[in-house]
Amino acid sequence: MAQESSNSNWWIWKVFWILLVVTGVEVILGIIKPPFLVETIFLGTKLLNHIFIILTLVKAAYIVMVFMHLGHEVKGLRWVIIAPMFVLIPYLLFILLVEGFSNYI
Amino acid sequence: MSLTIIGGSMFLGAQAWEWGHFIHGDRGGVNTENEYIVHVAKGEKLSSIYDLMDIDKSSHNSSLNYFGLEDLTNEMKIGFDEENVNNLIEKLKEKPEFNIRKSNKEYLTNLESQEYLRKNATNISLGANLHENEYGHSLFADYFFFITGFHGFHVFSGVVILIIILINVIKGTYEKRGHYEMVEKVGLYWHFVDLVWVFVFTFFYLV
Repeated sequence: MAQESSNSNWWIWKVFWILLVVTGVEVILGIIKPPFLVETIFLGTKLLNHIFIILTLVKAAYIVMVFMHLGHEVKGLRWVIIAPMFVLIPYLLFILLVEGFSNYI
Repeated sequence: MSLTIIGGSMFLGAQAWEWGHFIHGDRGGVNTENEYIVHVAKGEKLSSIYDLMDIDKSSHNSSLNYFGLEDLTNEMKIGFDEENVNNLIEKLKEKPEFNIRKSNKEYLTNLESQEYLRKNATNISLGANLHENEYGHSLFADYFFFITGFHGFHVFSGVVILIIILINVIKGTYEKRGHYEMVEKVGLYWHFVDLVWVFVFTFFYLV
């Protein structure tokens, strides 16, 4: 059984490293907070927050594709599930960030 | 799978440490009437209420002794706030090297600090919980503990279920059953929880 798994498990490490790198980029950006990205306000919040949100959505989509096996479905079904997520989550965030005065401090 | 269980346990350990840290607090904060928290600073550098008041934070019950109270949680509620704030202002007068940092990260001079506290300060917050938050707005602490608490509980359940699955796999339960559907189902649950973490991480730790 150990031999079988060593051949079929390689992809899990690929996923691991991709997610780790994306998260690493987010954390590094969060630590150094480039002044340009913090000071530019776009659509009611900092440009930096837009980057975080986009990378988060990419990670979320990737997890759903790989771990929840959506990647094996036909293209149409994939988009039916992913597209609303990409529309509704930014919409909800837009409302929360704008109404919540997130730029005040 | 053992790695996942170890990783999940490490996550829970880190979260327990973090919660303990936040609940205990770092430097203490002063609440103001406009609902913003201001912090004690020394020049242009953050200091702490403990430093200003000459309290050894690590010693047992030190903050209780400072307030002259036996039971902080009960007695603080009955009107010692003004007294505590006044003590703080008196100490600022005694120690000109200390001052206040406002929530917009602007440092006041010592005299301005006294004036600011006299006008705006309402009470002192030590640590963070569902009632107060020395780091910032108390609503953030509410959300933080509420969301990470529920998430942590889901992770805990996930780790327990994973351990059960691991035991069953070793015992050969699924081999006998002829299929590994339970492993798949628990896997889906686990990945639902980590999908939630992706969002929790972004909106509570990054944004």
